[in-house]
Amino acid sequence: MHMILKKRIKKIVIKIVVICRGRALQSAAKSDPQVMGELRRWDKSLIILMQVLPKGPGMILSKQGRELRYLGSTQKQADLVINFKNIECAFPVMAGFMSAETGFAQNRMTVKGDIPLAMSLIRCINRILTFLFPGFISRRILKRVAPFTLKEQIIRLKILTLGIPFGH
Amino acid sequence: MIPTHYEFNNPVKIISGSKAVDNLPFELEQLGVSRPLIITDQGVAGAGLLSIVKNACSDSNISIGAVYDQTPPDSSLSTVKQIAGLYRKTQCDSFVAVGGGSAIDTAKGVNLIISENSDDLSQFAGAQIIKTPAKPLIVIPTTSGTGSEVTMVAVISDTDRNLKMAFTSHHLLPNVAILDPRMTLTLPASMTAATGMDALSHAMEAFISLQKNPISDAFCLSAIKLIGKTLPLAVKNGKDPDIRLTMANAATMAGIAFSNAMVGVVHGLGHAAGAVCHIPHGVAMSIFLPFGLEYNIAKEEKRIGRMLLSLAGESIYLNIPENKRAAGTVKAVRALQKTLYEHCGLPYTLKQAGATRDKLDQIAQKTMDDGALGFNPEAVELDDALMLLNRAYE
Ligand SMILES: NC(=O)c1ccc[n+]([C@@H]2O[C@H](COP(=O)([O-])OP(=O)(O)OC[C@H]3O[C@@H](n4cnc5c(N)ncnc54)[C@H](O)[C@@H]3O)[C@@H](O)[C@H]2O)c1
Ligand SMILES: [Fe+2]
Repeated sequence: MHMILKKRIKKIVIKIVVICRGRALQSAAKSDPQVMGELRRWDKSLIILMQVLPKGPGMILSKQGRELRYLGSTQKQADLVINFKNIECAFPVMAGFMSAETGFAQNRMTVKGDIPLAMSLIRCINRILTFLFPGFISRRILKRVAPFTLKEQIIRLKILTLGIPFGH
Repeated sequence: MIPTHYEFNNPVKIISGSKAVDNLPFELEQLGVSRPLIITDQGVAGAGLLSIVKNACSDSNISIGAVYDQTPPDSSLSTVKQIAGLYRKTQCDSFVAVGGGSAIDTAKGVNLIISENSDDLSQFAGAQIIKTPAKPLIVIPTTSGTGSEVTMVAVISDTDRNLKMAFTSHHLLPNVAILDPRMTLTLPASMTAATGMDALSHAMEAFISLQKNPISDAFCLSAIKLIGKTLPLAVKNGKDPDIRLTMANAATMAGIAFSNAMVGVVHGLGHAAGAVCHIPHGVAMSIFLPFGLEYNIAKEEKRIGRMLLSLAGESIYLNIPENKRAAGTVKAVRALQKTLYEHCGLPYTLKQAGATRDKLDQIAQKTMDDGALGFNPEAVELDDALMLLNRAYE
Protein backbone atom coordinates (compact mmCIF):
# COMPACT_ATOMS: atom_id res chain seq x y z
CA MET A 1 0.00 0.00 0.00
CA HIS A 2 2.74 2.35 1.08
CA MET A 3 4.69 1.61 -2.12
CA ILE A 4 1.68 2.11 -4.35
CA LEU A 5 0.96 5.43 -2.70
CA LYS A 6 4.54 6.54 -3.26
CA LYS A 7 4.26 5.63 -6.90
CA ARG A 8 1.08 7.69 -7.22
CA ILE A 9 2.71 10.68 -5.59
CA LYS A 10 5.64 10.40 -7.95
CA LYS A 11 3.24 10.36 -10.89
CA ILE A 12 1.54 13.50 -9.63
CA VAL A 13 4.87 15.27 -9.11
CA ILE A 14 5.93 14.35 -12.63
CA LYS A 15 2.64 15.63 -14.02
CA ILE A 16 3.09 18.99 -12.33
CA VAL A 17 6.72 19.36 -13.33
CA VAL A 18 5.91 18.38 -16.90
CA ILE A 19 3.39 21.21 -17.15
CA CYS A 20 5.95 23.71 -15.82
CA ARG A 21 8.68 22.52 -18.14
CA GLY A 22 6.38 22.25 -21.14
CA ARG A 23 5.14 25.80 -20.67
CA ALA A 24 8.64 27.07 -19.97
CA LEU A 25 9.84 25.55 -23.24
CA GLN A 26 6.92 27.04 -25.12
CA SER A 27 7.73 30.43 -23.70
CA ALA A 28 11.50 30.17 -24.24
CA ALA A 29 10.83 29.28 -27.87
CA LYS A 30 9.52 32.85 -28.24
CA SER A 31 12.07 34.71 -26.17
CA ASP A 32 15.38 32.91 -25.67
CA PRO A 33 17.83 33.19 -28.59
CA GLN A 34 19.51 29.90 -27.69
CA VAL A 35 16.31 27.87 -27.75
CA MET A 36 15.13 29.75 -30.84
CA GLY A 37 18.42 28.91 -32.54
CA GLU A 38 17.94 25.22 -31.83
CA LEU A 39 14.34 25.28 -33.10
CA ARG A 40 15.36 26.88 -36.37
CA ARG A 41 17.28 23.73 -37.23
CA TRP A 42 14.29 21.42 -36.65
CA ASP A 43 11.87 20.40 -39.39
CA LYS A 44 9.04 22.89 -39.98
CA SER A 45 6.38 20.84 -38.33
CA LEU A 46 6.95 17.96 -35.98
CA ILE A 47 5.75 16.31 -32.82
CA ILE A 48 7.86 15.20 -29.91
CA LEU A 49 6.63 12.85 -27.22
CA MET A 50 8.32 12.14 -23.90
CA GLN A 51 6.52 9.56 -21.84
CA VAL A 52 6.79 7.14 -18.98
CA LEU A 53 6.11 3.51 -19.89
CA PRO A 54 3.75 1.77 -19.74
CA LYS A 55 0.94 4.25 -19.09
CA GLY A 56 2.27 7.76 -18.75
CA PRO A 57 2.40 10.48 -17.72
CA GLY A 58 3.91 12.16 -20.75
CA MET A 59 4.63 15.45 -22.45
CA ILE A 60 3.90 16.37 -26.04
CA LEU A 61 5.57 19.22 -27.82
CA SER A 62 4.44 20.30 -31.22
CA LYS A 63 6.40 22.56 -33.51
CA GLN A 64 4.42 24.48 -36.13
CA GLY A 65 6.37 26.99 -38.14
CA ARG A 66 8.32 28.98 -35.57
CA GLU A 67 6.10 28.15 -32.69
CA LEU A 68 6.57 25.44 -30.14
CA ARG A 69 3.49 24.36 -28.22
CA TYR A 70 3.08 22.24 -25.18
CA LEU A 71 0.10 19.99 -25.80
CA GLY A 72 -0.44 18.00 -22.64
CA SER A 73 -0.21 14.25 -23.01
CA THR A 74 -2.77 12.73 -25.33
CA GLN A 75 -1.09 12.26 -28.71
CA LYS A 76 -0.01 8.80 -29.86
CA GLN A 77 1.98 9.43 -33.07
CA ALA A 78 5.20 11.42 -32.91
CA ASP A 79 8.37 12.04 -34.92
CA LEU A 80 10.63 11.73 -31.91
CA VAL A 81 9.69 9.58 -28.95
CA ILE A 82 11.62 9.39 -25.70
CA ASN A 83 10.39 6.56 -23.52
CA PHE A 84 11.28 6.12 -19.88
CA LYS A 85 11.36 2.43 -18.97
CA ASN A 86 9.29 2.90 -15.80
CA ILE A 87 8.28 5.51 -13.27
CA GLU A 88 11.34 4.97 -11.07
CA CYS A 89 13.59 5.43 -14.09
CA ALA A 90 11.71 8.56 -15.04
CA PHE A 91 11.33 10.30 -11.73
CA PRO A 92 14.73 11.92 -11.19
CA VAL A 93 14.96 13.01 -14.83
CA MET A 94 11.37 14.20 -15.26
CA ALA A 95 11.34 15.93 -11.89
CA GLY A 96 14.59 17.70 -12.78
CA PHE A 97 17.01 16.18 -10.26
CA MET A 98 19.01 14.58 -13.02
CA SER A 99 20.04 15.76 -16.47
CA ALA A 100 18.72 13.99 -19.54
CA GLU A 101 22.32 13.06 -20.40
CA THR A 102 22.78 11.27 -17.11
CA GLY A 103 19.40 9.65 -17.65
CA PHE A 104 20.59 8.24 -20.96
CA ALA A 105 23.90 7.22 -19.43
CA GLN A 106 21.99 5.21 -16.84
CA ASN A 107 19.92 3.44 -19.51
CA ARG A 108 16.76 4.96 -18.11
CA MET A 109 15.22 5.81 -21.47
CA THR A 110 15.07 4.90 -25.15
CA VAL A 111 14.90 7.19 -28.20
CA LYS A 112 12.95 6.53 -31.35
CA GLY A 113 13.80 8.89 -34.16
CA ASP A 114 16.47 11.28 -35.27
CA ILE A 115 19.45 11.43 -32.88
CA PRO A 116 20.49 14.96 -33.99
CA LEU A 117 16.99 16.15 -33.12
CA ALA A 118 17.20 14.39 -29.76
CA MET A 119 20.54 16.11 -29.04
CA SER A 120 19.03 19.47 -29.89
CA LEU A 121 16.01 18.79 -27.68
CA ILE A 122 18.32 17.89 -24.78
CA ARG A 123 20.12 21.21 -25.20
CA CYS A 124 16.75 22.98 -25.00
CA ILE A 125 15.70 21.02 -21.93
CA ASN A 126 19.01 21.76 -20.22
CA ARG A 127 18.55 25.41 -21.01
CA ILE A 128 15.08 25.37 -19.47
CA LEU A 129 16.49 23.80 -16.33
CA THR A 130 18.78 26.80 -15.88
CA PHE A 131 15.75 29.10 -16.06
CA LEU A 132 13.68 27.05 -13.64
CA PHE A 133 16.24 26.30 -10.97
CA PRO A 134 18.55 28.56 -9.02
CA GLY A 135 22.18 28.39 -10.18
CA PHE A 136 23.45 26.33 -7.27
CA ILE A 137 21.04 23.54 -8.17
CA SER A 138 21.40 23.60 -11.95
CA ARG A 139 25.17 23.64 -11.62
CA ARG A 140 24.93 20.38 -9.71
CA ILE A 141 22.79 18.74 -12.38
CA LEU A 142 24.29 20.07 -15.60
CA LYS A 143 27.83 19.81 -16.93
CA ARG A 144 28.21 23.54 -17.38
CA VAL A 145 26.10 26.57 -16.52
CA ALA A 146 27.26 29.99 -17.65
CA PRO A 147 26.30 32.96 -15.44
CA PHE A 148 23.25 34.83 -16.76
CA THR A 149 23.56 38.15 -18.52
CA LEU A 150 21.06 40.89 -17.71
CA LYS A 151 19.14 40.05 -20.87
CA GLU A 152 18.91 36.43 -19.82
CA GLN A 153 17.67 37.48 -16.37
CA ILE A 154 14.83 39.29 -18.07
CA ILE A 155 13.99 36.29 -20.25
CA ARG A 156 13.99 34.13 -17.17
CA LEU A 157 11.69 36.50 -15.33
CA LYS A 158 9.30 36.47 -18.25
CA ILE A 159 9.25 32.67 -18.40
CA LEU A 160 8.64 32.39 -14.66
CA THR A 161 5.95 35.05 -14.39
CA LEU A 162 4.12 34.83 -17.72
CA GLY A 163 5.25 31.63 -19.44
CA ILE A 164 4.53 29.08 -16.76
CA PRO A 165 1.39 30.49 -15.09
CA PHE A 166 -0.32 31.83 -18.23
CA GLY A 167 1.23 29.88 -21.09
CA HIS A 168 2.66 32.97 -22.81
CA MET B 1 32.01 5.10 -6.97
CA ILE B 2 29.34 2.73 -8.27
CA PRO B 3 26.75 4.45 -10.48
CA THR B 4 23.28 4.63 -8.95
CA HIS B 5 22.06 2.57 -11.88
CA TYR B 6 23.79 0.87 -14.77
CA GLU B 7 23.30 -1.94 -17.24
CA PHE B 8 25.81 -4.23 -18.86
CA ASN B 9 25.16 -6.70 -21.64
CA ASN B 10 27.60 -8.83 -23.57
CA PRO B 11 26.09 -12.07 -24.79
CA VAL B 12 28.50 -12.54 -27.73
CA LYS B 13 30.37 -15.82 -27.77
CA ILE B 14 34.02 -15.10 -28.44
CA ILE B 15 36.23 -17.65 -30.16
CA SER B 16 39.91 -16.78 -30.32
CA GLY B 17 42.64 -18.94 -31.79
CA SER B 18 45.12 -19.55 -34.56
CA LYS B 19 42.60 -21.60 -36.60
CA ALA B 20 39.41 -20.21 -35.08
CA VAL B 21 37.68 -19.57 -38.45
CA ASP B 22 37.44 -23.34 -38.92
CA ASN B 23 34.87 -23.35 -36.12
CA LEU B 24 32.45 -21.41 -38.34
CA PRO B 25 30.40 -24.42 -39.60
CA PHE B 26 30.04 -25.80 -36.08
CA GLU B 27 28.87 -22.45 -34.74
CA LEU B 28 26.38 -21.96 -37.58
CA GLU B 29 24.92 -25.39 -36.90
CA GLN B 30 24.68 -24.57 -33.21
CA LEU B 31 22.57 -21.61 -34.22
CA GLY B 32 20.33 -23.86 -36.28
CA VAL B 33 21.20 -22.37 -39.68
CA SER B 34 22.93 -23.69 -42.78
CA ARG B 35 22.76 -21.08 -45.54
CA PRO B 36 24.63 -17.90 -44.64
CA LEU B 37 25.02 -14.78 -46.74
CA ILE B 38 28.61 -13.60 -46.56
CA ILE B 39 29.11 -9.84 -46.46
CA THR B 40 32.56 -8.45 -47.17
CA ASP B 41 34.35 -5.84 -49.28
CA GLN B 42 36.78 -5.67 -52.19
CA GLY B 43 39.86 -5.09 -50.05
CA VAL B 44 39.18 -8.11 -47.89
CA ALA B 45 38.28 -10.31 -50.85
CA GLY B 46 41.34 -9.07 -52.72
CA ALA B 47 43.58 -10.00 -49.79
CA GLY B 48 42.45 -13.61 -50.26
CA LEU B 49 40.70 -13.82 -46.90
CA LEU B 50 37.46 -15.24 -48.29
CA SER B 51 39.22 -18.43 -49.25
CA ILE B 52 39.99 -19.09 -45.57
CA VAL B 53 36.28 -18.81 -44.83
CA LYS B 54 35.17 -20.86 -47.83
CA ASN B 55 37.74 -23.49 -47.04
CA ALA B 56 36.40 -23.74 -43.50
CA CYS B 57 32.92 -24.40 -44.88
CA SER B 58 33.97 -26.99 -47.43
CA ASP B 59 33.10 -30.58 -46.54
CA SER B 60 30.49 -29.40 -44.06
CA ASN B 61 26.72 -29.13 -43.88
CA ILE B 62 26.94 -25.43 -44.53
CA SER B 63 26.29 -24.10 -48.01
CA ILE B 64 27.12 -20.47 -48.60
CA GLY B 65 23.95 -18.91 -50.03
CA ALA B 66 25.63 -15.88 -51.60
CA VAL B 67 28.62 -13.59 -51.22
CA TYR B 68 28.32 -9.81 -51.36
CA ASP B 69 31.77 -8.25 -51.73
CA GLN B 70 31.00 -4.67 -52.78
CA THR B 71 30.54 -3.03 -49.38
CA PRO B 72 31.68 0.60 -49.66
CA PRO B 73 33.73 2.30 -46.93
CA ASP B 74 31.46 3.34 -44.03
CA SER B 75 28.60 1.44 -45.73
CA SER B 76 25.47 3.21 -46.95
CA LEU B 77 21.70 2.98 -46.69
CA SER B 78 21.38 1.98 -50.35
CA THR B 79 23.95 -0.83 -50.01
CA VAL B 80 22.02 -2.21 -47.06
CA LYS B 81 18.82 -2.21 -49.09
CA GLN B 82 20.51 -3.89 -52.04
CA ILE B 83 21.98 -6.69 -49.90
CA ALA B 84 18.62 -7.29 -48.26
CA GLY B 85 17.26 -7.98 -51.75
CA LEU B 86 20.06 -10.46 -52.40
CA TYR B 87 19.40 -12.20 -49.07
CA ARG B 88 15.72 -12.66 -49.90
CA LYS B 89 16.39 -13.75 -53.46
CA THR B 90 18.96 -16.36 -52.52
CA GLN B 91 16.90 -17.60 -49.55
CA CYS B 92 19.67 -17.32 -47.01
CA ASP B 93 18.98 -17.90 -43.33
CA SER B 94 21.85 -16.14 -41.57
CA PHE B 95 24.77 -13.72 -41.96
CA VAL B 96 28.53 -13.98 -41.79
CA ALA B 97 30.37 -10.65 -41.87
CA VAL B 98 33.99 -10.84 -42.94
CA GLY B 99 35.74 -7.49 -42.77
CA GLY B 100 36.32 -4.32 -40.81
CA GLY B 101 33.69 -2.06 -39.31
CA SER B 102 32.27 -1.22 -42.72
CA ALA B 103 31.35 -4.82 -43.61
CA ILE B 104 30.27 -5.69 -40.05
CA ASP B 105 27.99 -2.68 -39.66
CA THR B 106 26.52 -3.33 -43.09
CA ALA B 107 25.64 -6.85 -41.99
CA LYS B 108 24.02 -5.49 -38.84
CA GLY B 109 21.98 -3.04 -40.91
CA VAL B 110 20.83 -5.71 -43.36
CA ASN B 111 19.96 -8.03 -40.50
CA LEU B 112 17.83 -5.30 -38.96
CA ILE B 113 15.69 -4.64 -42.01
CA ILE B 114 15.39 -8.34 -42.81
CA SER B 115 14.10 -9.17 -39.35
CA GLU B 116 11.84 -6.10 -39.27
CA ASN B 117 10.66 -7.04 -42.76
CA SER B 118 11.30 -3.57 -44.08
CA ASP B 119 13.22 -1.87 -46.88
CA ASP B 120 14.10 1.35 -45.19
CA LEU B 121 16.79 1.32 -42.53
CA SER B 122 16.55 5.02 -41.72
CA GLN B 123 13.18 4.48 -40.09
CA PHE B 124 14.89 2.51 -37.29
CA ALA B 125 17.31 5.27 -36.26
CA GLY B 126 17.50 5.74 -32.56
CA ALA B 127 18.50 3.89 -29.43
CA GLN B 128 16.94 0.67 -28.12
CA ILE B 129 13.76 0.80 -30.18
CA ILE B 130 13.98 -2.41 -32.19
CA LYS B 131 11.76 -5.16 -30.84
CA THR B 132 12.20 -8.11 -33.18
CA PRO B 133 15.01 -10.58 -32.53
CA ALA B 134 17.41 -10.74 -35.46
CA LYS B 135 18.73 -13.58 -37.64
CA PRO B 136 21.92 -15.33 -36.57
CA LEU B 137 25.01 -13.23 -37.29
CA ILE B 138 28.59 -14.42 -36.99
CA VAL B 139 31.35 -11.85 -37.31
CA ILE B 140 34.92 -12.47 -38.43
CA PRO B 141 36.75 -9.15 -38.01
CA THR B 142 39.67 -8.44 -40.34
CA THR B 143 40.73 -5.22 -38.64
CA SER B 144 41.53 -4.83 -34.94
CA GLY B 145 39.76 -1.61 -34.24
CA THR B 146 36.04 -1.00 -34.28
CA GLY B 147 35.07 -3.77 -31.88
CA SER B 148 31.86 -3.95 -33.90
CA GLU B 149 31.95 -7.76 -33.47
CA VAL B 150 30.79 -7.24 -29.88
CA THR B 151 28.92 -3.94 -29.96
CA MET B 152 25.23 -3.15 -30.15
CA VAL B 153 26.06 -0.24 -32.44
CA ALA B 154 25.98 0.08 -36.20
CA VAL B 155 27.24 3.22 -37.91
CA ILE B 156 25.98 3.59 -41.45
CA SER B 157 26.34 6.64 -43.64
CA ASP B 158 23.48 8.43 -45.27
CA THR B 159 25.32 9.53 -48.40
CA ASP B 160 22.48 11.82 -49.53
CA ARG B 161 22.46 13.84 -46.33
CA ASN B 162 26.22 13.53 -45.84
CA LEU B 163 25.97 12.20 -42.31
CA LYS B 164 26.65 9.05 -40.33
CA MET B 165 23.61 7.46 -38.75
CA ALA B 166 23.97 5.50 -35.54
CA PHE B 167 21.72 2.58 -34.63
CA THR B 168 21.89 1.02 -31.20
CA SER B 169 19.96 -2.02 -30.06
CA HIS B 170 20.67 -5.22 -28.20
CA HIS B 171 19.27 -6.99 -31.23
CA LEU B 172 22.21 -5.80 -33.32
CA LEU B 173 24.68 -7.77 -31.21
CA PRO B 174 26.23 -10.62 -33.19
CA ASN B 175 25.90 -14.17 -31.84
CA VAL B 176 29.51 -15.13 -32.30
CA ALA B 177 32.78 -13.26 -32.87
CA ILE B 178 35.66 -15.23 -34.33
CA LEU B 179 39.15 -13.84 -33.75
CA ASP B 180 41.69 -15.54 -35.98
CA PRO B 181 45.16 -14.04 -36.58
CA ARG B 182 45.13 -15.22 -40.20
CA MET B 183 42.41 -12.64 -40.88
CA THR B 184 44.50 -9.61 -39.89
CA LEU B 185 47.97 -10.68 -41.12
CA THR B 186 47.30 -8.95 -44.45
CA LEU B 187 46.22 -5.63 -42.95
CA PRO B 188 48.65 -2.93 -44.15
CA ALA B 189 50.68 -1.12 -41.47
CA SER B 190 48.90 2.22 -41.89
CA MET B 191 45.51 0.56 -41.50
CA THR B 192 46.76 -1.46 -38.54
CA ALA B 193 47.83 1.79 -36.89
CA ALA B 194 44.61 3.66 -37.60
CA THR B 195 42.27 0.88 -36.54
CA GLY B 196 44.39 0.25 -33.44
CA MET B 197 44.00 3.89 -32.45
CA ASP B 198 40.24 3.49 -32.90
CA ALA B 199 40.34 0.63 -30.38
CA LEU B 200 42.44 2.71 -27.99
CA SER B 201 40.02 5.60 -28.23
CA HIS B 202 37.13 3.25 -27.44
CA ALA B 203 38.82 2.08 -24.26
CA MET B 204 39.98 5.55 -23.19
CA GLU B 205 36.72 7.33 -23.93
CA ALA B 206 34.66 4.58 -22.30
CA PHE B 207 36.81 4.84 -19.16
CA ILE B 208 35.77 8.45 -18.58
CA SER B 209 32.30 8.37 -20.14
CA LEU B 210 29.23 9.35 -18.13
CA GLN B 211 28.02 5.79 -18.68
CA LYS B 212 31.12 4.08 -17.27
CA ASN B 213 30.59 1.31 -14.76
CA PRO B 214 32.80 -1.09 -12.81
CA ILE B 215 32.51 -3.87 -15.36
CA SER B 216 33.26 -1.74 -18.39
CA ASP B 217 36.18 -0.19 -16.46
CA ALA B 218 37.83 -3.59 -16.18
CA PHE B 219 37.59 -4.14 -19.93
CA CYS B 220 38.92 -0.62 -20.62
CA LEU B 221 42.06 -0.97 -18.54
CA SER B 222 42.90 -4.43 -19.90
CA ALA B 223 42.43 -3.21 -23.46
CA ILE B 224 44.56 -0.08 -22.93
CA LYS B 225 47.37 -2.16 -21.48
CA LEU B 226 47.39 -4.60 -24.39
CA ILE B 227 47.17 -1.86 -27.02
CA GLY B 228 49.91 0.26 -25.42
CA LYS B 229 52.26 -2.68 -25.55
CA THR B 230 51.23 -4.36 -28.79
CA LEU B 231 50.14 -1.71 -31.28
CA PRO B 232 53.67 -0.45 -32.10
CA LEU B 233 54.74 -4.08 -32.54
CA ALA B 234 51.79 -4.89 -34.80
CA VAL B 235 52.71 -1.96 -37.04
CA LYS B 236 56.38 -2.95 -37.21
CA ASN B 237 55.88 -6.67 -37.37
CA GLY B 238 52.52 -7.38 -38.94
CA LYS B 239 53.35 -10.93 -39.92
CA ASP B 240 53.55 -12.16 -36.33
CA PRO B 241 50.34 -14.10 -35.57
CA ASP B 242 50.70 -13.74 -31.78
CA ILE B 243 50.90 -10.00 -32.02
CA ARG B 244 47.92 -9.93 -34.39
CA LEU B 245 45.82 -12.12 -32.13
CA THR B 246 46.67 -9.95 -29.13
CA MET B 247 45.51 -6.84 -30.99
CA ALA B 248 42.31 -8.63 -32.05
CA ASN B 249 41.61 -9.49 -28.42
CA ALA B 250 42.37 -5.95 -27.27
CA ALA B 251 40.04 -4.41 -29.86
CA THR B 252 37.27 -6.81 -28.84
CA MET B 253 37.71 -5.92 -25.17
CA ALA B 254 37.61 -2.23 -25.98
CA GLY B 255 34.45 -2.91 -27.99
CA ILE B 256 32.76 -4.65 -25.06
CA ALA B 257 33.70 -1.69 -22.89
CA PHE B 258 32.34 1.01 -25.14
CA SER B 259 29.24 -0.88 -26.19
CA ASN B 260 28.25 -0.66 -22.54
CA ALA B 261 29.80 2.65 -21.52
CA MET B 262 29.63 4.62 -24.79
CA VAL B 263 32.17 7.12 -26.10
CA GLY B 264 32.52 10.90 -26.08
CA VAL B 265 33.78 13.99 -27.87
CA VAL B 266 36.59 12.20 -29.74
CA HIS B 267 34.03 10.08 -31.54
CA GLY B 268 31.66 13.01 -31.94
CA LEU B 269 34.34 14.99 -33.78
CA GLY B 270 35.51 11.90 -35.66
CA HIS B 271 32.09 10.95 -37.02
CA ALA B 272 31.59 14.53 -38.20
CA ALA B 273 35.06 14.75 -39.79
CA GLY B 274 34.35 11.42 -41.46
CA ALA B 275 31.05 12.62 -42.86
CA VAL B 276 32.30 16.02 -44.07
CA CYS B 277 35.89 15.28 -45.18
CA HIS B 278 35.83 11.49 -45.55
CA ILE B 279 38.66 11.04 -43.09
CA PRO B 280 38.80 7.31 -42.24
CA HIS B 281 37.38 6.63 -38.79
CA GLY B 282 40.60 5.31 -37.23
CA VAL B 283 42.68 8.19 -38.60
CA ALA B 284 40.23 10.69 -37.15
CA MET B 285 40.28 8.90 -33.79
CA SER B 286 44.05 9.07 -33.66
CA ILE B 287 44.08 12.79 -34.44
CA PHE B 288 41.41 13.76 -31.90
CA LEU B 289 42.24 11.43 -29.01
CA PRO B 290 44.91 13.54 -27.25
CA PHE B 291 42.84 16.71 -27.65
CA GLY B 292 39.71 15.00 -26.37
CA LEU B 293 41.51 13.68 -23.29
CA GLU B 294 43.05 17.07 -22.58
CA TYR B 295 39.64 18.70 -22.92
CA ASN B 296 38.19 16.44 -20.23
CA ILE B 297 40.95 16.78 -17.64
CA ALA B 298 39.02 19.36 -15.64
CA LYS B 299 36.21 16.83 -15.09
CA GLU B 300 38.06 13.50 -14.97
CA GLU B 301 41.65 14.23 -13.97
CA LYS B 302 42.05 11.18 -11.73
CA ARG B 303 40.74 8.69 -14.26
CA ILE B 304 42.72 10.14 -17.12
CA GLY B 305 45.79 9.93 -14.89
CA ARG B 306 44.99 6.33 -13.99
CA MET B 307 45.09 5.29 -17.64
CA LEU B 308 48.80 6.17 -17.73
CA LEU B 309 49.58 3.09 -15.65
CA SER B 310 47.89 0.86 -18.21
CA LEU B 311 49.18 2.66 -21.27
CA ALA B 312 52.79 3.36 -20.37
CA GLY B 313 53.57 0.91 -17.59
CA GLU B 314 54.54 1.07 -13.93
CA SER B 315 57.94 2.71 -14.13
CA ILE B 316 56.71 5.73 -16.07
CA TYR B 317 53.55 5.99 -13.98
CA LEU B 318 55.36 5.92 -10.64
CA ASN B 319 57.91 8.48 -11.80
CA ILE B 320 55.28 11.07 -12.48
CA PRO B 321 53.69 12.90 -9.52
CA GLU B 322 49.98 12.37 -9.14
CA ASN B 323 48.98 15.86 -10.22
CA LYS B 324 50.85 15.48 -13.52
CA ARG B 325 49.59 12.05 -14.48
CA ALA B 326 46.59 13.16 -16.53
CA ALA B 327 48.88 15.35 -18.62
CA GLY B 328 51.24 12.36 -18.69
CA THR B 329 48.55 10.23 -20.30
CA VAL B 330 48.01 12.82 -23.01
CA LYS B 331 51.77 12.92 -23.56
CA ALA B 332 51.95 9.13 -23.80
CA VAL B 333 49.20 9.12 -26.44
CA ARG B 334 51.14 11.75 -28.39
CA ALA B 335 54.30 9.64 -28.12
CA LEU B 336 52.40 6.65 -29.49
CA GLN B 337 51.08 8.86 -32.30
CA LYS B 338 54.63 9.89 -33.14
CA THR B 339 55.83 6.28 -33.25
CA LEU B 340 52.99 5.41 -35.61
CA TYR B 341 53.67 8.45 -37.77
CA GLU B 342 57.31 7.48 -38.10
CA HIS B 343 56.54 3.88 -38.96
CA CYS B 344 53.72 4.25 -41.41
CA GLY B 345 52.87 7.94 -41.78
CA LEU B 346 49.66 7.84 -39.74
CA PRO B 347 48.47 11.49 -39.82
CA TYR B 348 48.31 13.36 -36.52
CA THR B 349 46.75 16.59 -37.81
CA LEU B 350 43.61 17.23 -39.81
CA LYS B 351 45.67 18.96 -42.45
CA GLN B 352 47.85 15.90 -42.96
CA ALA B 353 44.66 13.86 -43.26
CA GLY B 354 43.53 16.04 -46.15
CA ALA B 355 40.99 18.32 -44.47
CA THR B 356 40.87 21.98 -45.39
CA ARG B 357 40.38 24.84 -42.94
CA ASP B 358 37.19 26.06 -44.59
CA LYS B 359 35.50 22.77 -43.64
CA LEU B 360 36.03 23.17 -39.89
CA ASP B 361 32.82 25.15 -39.34
CA GLN B 362 30.79 22.48 -41.04
CA ILE B 363 32.47 19.71 -39.04
CA ALA B 364 31.79 21.61 -35.81
CA GLN B 365 28.11 21.97 -36.73
CA LYS B 366 27.81 18.25 -37.47
CA THR B 367 29.59 17.37 -34.24
CA MET B 368 26.77 18.98 -32.29
CA ASP B 369 24.36 16.42 -33.81
CA ASP B 370 26.31 13.43 -32.53
CA GLY B 371 24.84 11.38 -29.71
CA ALA B 372 28.30 10.66 -28.28
CA LEU B 373 28.53 14.23 -26.95
CA GLY B 374 25.89 13.40 -24.38
CA PHE B 375 28.19 10.86 -22.74
CA ASN B 376 31.25 13.10 -22.69
CA PRO B 377 32.10 14.25 -19.14
CA GLU B 378 32.67 17.88 -20.14
CA ALA B 379 29.98 19.93 -21.88
CA VAL B 380 30.63 20.46 -25.57
CA GLU B 381 29.17 23.53 -27.24
CA LEU B 382 29.66 24.70 -30.79
CA ASP B 383 32.55 27.01 -29.83
CA ASP B 384 34.27 24.19 -27.97
CA ALA B 385 34.03 21.87 -30.96
CA LEU B 386 35.45 24.56 -33.22
CA MET B 387 38.27 25.27 -30.77
CA LEU B 388 39.20 21.55 -30.68
CA LEU B 389 39.09 21.34 -34.48
CA ASN B 390 41.37 24.35 -34.82
CA ARG B 391 43.83 22.84 -32.37
CA ALA B 392 43.81 19.56 -34.25
CA TYR B 393 44.15 21.22 -37.63
CA GLU B 394 47.93 21.64 -37.80
N1 LIG C 1 29.77 -0.50 -34.89
C1 LIG C 1 30.69 -0.05 -34.11
O1 LIG C 1 30.67 -0.32 -32.93
C2 LIG C 1 31.76 0.82 -34.71
C3 LIG C 1 32.79 1.32 -33.91
C4 LIG C 1 33.78 2.09 -34.50
C5 LIG C 1 33.73 2.35 -35.86
N2 LIG C 1 32.71 1.87 -36.62
C6 LIG C 1 32.63 2.10 -38.08
O2 LIG C 1 33.47 1.15 -38.75
C7 LIG C 1 33.92 1.72 -39.97
C8 LIG C 1 35.41 1.59 -40.10
O3 LIG C 1 35.81 0.25 -39.97
P1 LIG C 1 37.34 -0.17 -40.07
O4 LIG C 1 38.16 0.86 -39.42
O5 LIG C 1 37.43 -1.54 -39.57
O6 LIG C 1 37.67 -0.08 -41.62
P2 LIG C 1 36.93 -0.68 -42.94
O7 LIG C 1 36.05 -1.79 -42.60
O8 LIG C 1 36.33 0.48 -43.64
O9 LIG C 1 38.17 -1.21 -43.76
C9 LIG C 1 39.17 -0.33 -44.22
C10 LIG C 1 39.88 -0.88 -45.44
O10 LIG C 1 40.73 -1.96 -45.06
C11 LIG C 1 40.55 -3.08 -45.90
N3 LIG C 1 40.82 -4.26 -45.08
C12 LIG C 1 40.13 -4.64 -43.99
N4 LIG C 1 40.70 -5.74 -43.46
C13 LIG C 1 41.76 -6.05 -44.23
C14 LIG C 1 42.74 -7.08 -44.18
N5 LIG C 1 42.76 -7.99 -43.20
N6 LIG C 1 43.68 -7.11 -45.14
C15 LIG C 1 43.70 -6.17 -46.11
N7 LIG C 1 42.81 -5.19 -46.20
C16 LIG C 1 41.84 -5.12 -45.27
C17 LIG C 1 39.13 -2.95 -46.37
O11 LIG C 1 38.95 -3.59 -47.60
C18 LIG C 1 38.95 -1.45 -46.50
O12 LIG C 1 39.40 -1.03 -47.74
C19 LIG C 1 33.46 3.15 -39.95
O13 LIG C 1 32.31 3.27 -40.75
C20 LIG C 1 33.13 3.43 -38.52
O14 LIG C 1 32.18 4.45 -38.35
C21 LIG C 1 31.74 1.11 -36.05
FE1 LIG D 1 35.34 4.06 -33.06
